[in-house]
Amino acid sequence: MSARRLLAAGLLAALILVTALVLNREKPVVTVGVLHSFQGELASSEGPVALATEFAIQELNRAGGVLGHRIVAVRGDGASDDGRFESEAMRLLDEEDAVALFGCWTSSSRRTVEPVLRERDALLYYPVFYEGLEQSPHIVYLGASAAQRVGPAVKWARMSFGGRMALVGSDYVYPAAANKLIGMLLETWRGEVVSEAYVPLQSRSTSAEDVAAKLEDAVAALVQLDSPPDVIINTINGDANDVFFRALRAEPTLAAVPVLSFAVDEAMLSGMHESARQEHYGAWSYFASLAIPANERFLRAWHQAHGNQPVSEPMVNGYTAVHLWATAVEAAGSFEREKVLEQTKGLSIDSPAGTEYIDAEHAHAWRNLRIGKVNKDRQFDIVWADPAPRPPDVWPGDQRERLEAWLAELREQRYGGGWGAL
Amino acid sequence: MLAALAPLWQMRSDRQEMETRHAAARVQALQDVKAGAAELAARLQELEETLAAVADDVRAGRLASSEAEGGETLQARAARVFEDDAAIVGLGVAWTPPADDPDARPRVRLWPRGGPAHGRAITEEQLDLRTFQPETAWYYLARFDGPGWRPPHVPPGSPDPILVFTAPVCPGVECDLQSTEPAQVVTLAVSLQALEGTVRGLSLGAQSEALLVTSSGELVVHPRMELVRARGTLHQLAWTAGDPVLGEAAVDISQGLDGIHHRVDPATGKGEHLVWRQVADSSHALVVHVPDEVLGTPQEARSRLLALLGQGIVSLFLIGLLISAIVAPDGIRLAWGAAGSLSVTALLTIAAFWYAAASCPDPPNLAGEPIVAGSDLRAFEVNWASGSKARDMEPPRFVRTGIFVQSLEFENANNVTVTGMIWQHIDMAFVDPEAEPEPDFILPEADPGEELVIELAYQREREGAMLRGWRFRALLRQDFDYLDYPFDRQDIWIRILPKEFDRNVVLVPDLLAYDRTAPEAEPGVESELVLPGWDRDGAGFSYRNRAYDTDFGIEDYEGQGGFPELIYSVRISRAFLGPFVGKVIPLAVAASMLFCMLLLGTRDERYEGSFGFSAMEVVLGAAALFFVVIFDHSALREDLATTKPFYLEYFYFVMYLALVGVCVNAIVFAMGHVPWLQNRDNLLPKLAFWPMYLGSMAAVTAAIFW
Repeated sequence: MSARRLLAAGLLAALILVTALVLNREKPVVTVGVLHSFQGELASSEGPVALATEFAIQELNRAGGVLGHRIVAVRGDGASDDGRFESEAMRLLDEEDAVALFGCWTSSSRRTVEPVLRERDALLYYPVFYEGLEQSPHIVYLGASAAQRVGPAVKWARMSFGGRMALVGSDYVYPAAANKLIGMLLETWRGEVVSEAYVPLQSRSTSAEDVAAKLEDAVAALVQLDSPPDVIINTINGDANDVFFRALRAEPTLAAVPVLSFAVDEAMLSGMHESARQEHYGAWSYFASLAIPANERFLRAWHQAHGNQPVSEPMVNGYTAVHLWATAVEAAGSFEREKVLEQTKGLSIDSPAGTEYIDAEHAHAWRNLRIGKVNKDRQFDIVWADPAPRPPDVWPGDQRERLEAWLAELREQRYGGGWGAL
Repeated sequence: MLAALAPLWQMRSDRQEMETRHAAARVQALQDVKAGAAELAARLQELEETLAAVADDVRAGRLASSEAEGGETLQARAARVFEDDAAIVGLGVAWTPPADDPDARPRVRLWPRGGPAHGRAITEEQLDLRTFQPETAWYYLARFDGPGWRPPHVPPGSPDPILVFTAPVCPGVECDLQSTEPAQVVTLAVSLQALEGTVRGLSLGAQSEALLVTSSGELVVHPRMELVRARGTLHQLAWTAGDPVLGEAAVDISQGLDGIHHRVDPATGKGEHLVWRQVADSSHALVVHVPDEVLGTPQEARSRLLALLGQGIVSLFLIGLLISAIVAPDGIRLAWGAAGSLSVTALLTIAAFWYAAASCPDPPNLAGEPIVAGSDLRAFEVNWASGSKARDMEPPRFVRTGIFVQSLEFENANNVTVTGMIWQHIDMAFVDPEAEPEPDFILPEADPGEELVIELAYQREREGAMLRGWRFRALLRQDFDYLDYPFDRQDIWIRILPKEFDRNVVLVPDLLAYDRTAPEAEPGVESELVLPGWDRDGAGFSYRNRAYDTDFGIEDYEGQGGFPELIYSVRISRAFLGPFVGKVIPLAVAASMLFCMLLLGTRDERYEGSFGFSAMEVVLGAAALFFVVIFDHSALREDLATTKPFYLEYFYFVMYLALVGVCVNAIVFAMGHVPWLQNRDNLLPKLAFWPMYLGSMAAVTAAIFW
């Protein structure tokens, strides 16, 4: 073989080798942030959501990743503290180069993180119900707004139990806003708020004992009413719920009063005292008992991976958020926030809760309301279901200006410039 | 050049005409739906006024709840209302508990239509209004939201859903619900079947399909009323089907907006205007699918397309000639140019007919008119029941039957193996729980030998019926029509008969079991079903009336004259690429080789030594080609197992003629007796080969597909 032919053959072999290497080269991994509390009072609520989020990411990777990239989830620990949420969000975006964040729990944590997202042009998928009264182009809202959940659920309670309602909640923006809405609605439904009490979230400055003392005060105030309320609307968040139910059901006059809770899900119920099973209702869009094939498939896969770990709506939202993001990224062909957000709007995907639709105008899920009654297995039996999903309606009753003014006042005067009592 | 512009001009005219028609259709659709919504609003207003009059009389104490109180009773008023309006199926009053005993069970008197003089009322004994649930929501919503139409629901003990209008009645004139608890709630129930009739009666165009939904998207009237019973919503329909325009309609409707959108319906693949419009003052909206006007039959569309393509081809031919005349003005080159133009024209003609055959197929036959809507099915049931009575047959028993096809496989040209599930809802009165379950259907086309397997897969008892699902595998023998091969379309149909075929048992499709029932949506076909060499075009149920000339020896045989037999069909069309690569290309290569042999037959001394084929060599070459072609032809015939000639077969016949022609030409040319064959070294046959070969195929193609 002549030298020229040898050279040509060598070049050809090199070309084939280079082509094969280029084709076989793995695309770099892409990082997303999972921002939840893994310690503190809210860890019991948020931990399972983080787990469900990571479960969805594992599913994505098994199916070949997103745009051919393997997805790596990096955790950020909010530690039940708004300040930590802020600093962890910065770390995930700046140091870990996360292309999107999944997480936050309380509205105060979300509102604290929002400016960080704005400054860095980043996107957060928020899996939890919230008060509405906000529309950030940096957040995709998977949970129900107050108008989608609190309004119709309280109407159901008004019709089912009566109009004398007692409101008990944690002291931060969501319960305050929800109770504000309830007060407005009861005016039109011949009802009244007979008592309103707030307890602080456990934090560095508030011990569990302080929280328990405040809860006992709230229950004592209910006992002192002329007659027991028709229903108690409970917006307490986190482990304080267990203390509240123990104290409430220990009072003979309050033992049979129905309680409609907005932040007690199946995951939390599994660790609560049995007093939480008495006349206890929950208002969610998703219950694990939902009998649809998509949910049954999800539960099978989930229990195979995580044993008997219960499933709740925020967990399903966390799970769905990842698939929603992946679908939008694939459609956009890019991880850029603006392009992904554009593709997210108007998207509908299958989820364990049914078909999930994101509003074409606001990046916010449409939601069906379901009311469940706690059963002996610490699950919910669905007793009422909205057949049609409700639009987000983040500023209910066309009262945006009035509500914005109220929100600003709440922040400045009650929370000292923050979004919750310290 | 002017001729070349003609097809472009024609295309432009066609497009303009289409746009004009679309614009006119849009205006017409908007007008029709606007008029329909107004008509519907008037009808709902009429019903509201009926209840308002009752409310006034209740408020003024003019209606007594019992005869003991004197005056006109509620019962008498209900009877009068039922007589005046056939759509109203219920009327009643509920009394809110007194303020000093708010937990007392509310008194209620509801008179449903039916029974002697509508005399039996539903009272608080049967209907406890103390709990808020879908059946009692009307009472609560009237007390808190005021007068209004409530979401449709199925009342206890009734198979049919109703729409309810309720209004609060206060001791004063007008209710101030913010401060006052109403004393009573009056209610009026409307049959959704009657309302469906009203919606279907609207002048919305012959092919239009209308839906009535609440402002929050709940279905009130839908061609598949089963979805209404299942409390379906427009959102679900849209999001489940991935139909963004329907989703936009749902969102718009919830915001009180109207809209129109021209699109291709993802469920049917056909163009339509989707129009949605609020029904004034009723918290309802009308959603109407207005299909695009179909410009004639598929055959007419095909003719139009062919006319357009024909103009283009003629233009190209003329341009080819013109170019030949300019580039090669001398005789031989011009002749080759003309032959080339003719050949290309013939080739394009074949391609045009193929394109027309593929793009304008006949509509799916599905062995009869497809059954898509629950309303059509109900109409069929009513007609058959009344027909049975007229023919003195026993009352019919309708058995809901569904099918899911998991695999299809052609065993040979006339045998297909089908596997899947068939399920039936059998009334418990006809089920012997002690007996071993047996299928209540037969597949008459199935080979009863080893290939027929029917096994029980599941059974459930629900709502007075036994649901039994059967897994089946059957070898069906059918007479397929291959005359258009390789552009043939086939209906694989599965005839399902009741086991008691001598009784008046009619199988009806279980439409509720399918998400979509339009044939184009292929209800009941496994989405991943692969049938090599074929594409799926549609599937669905239909009926075939079949008369038998025997009573099978059964004296009281019910099914002898025109009994409806349930057919489930899957329409498939052959994937053209396979036959093109496997049959057409080898034929083209063979033809090219034959032409080479013709070309190489020369008596020119300059080339004779190097290339010249002798007559013997040409005949031997042609014989070799003949064996190859006939082998392929025989194999194809064996595959299709048809006695009649089919389209592609003519290509083989043309090839045989060409082979014979080339051989004869070689011999005569070698003998040198025919002067015009000798002219310019056998030029004429060489010039004529492609135009004649391709022209013959084009003529055959035109004759078959025109």
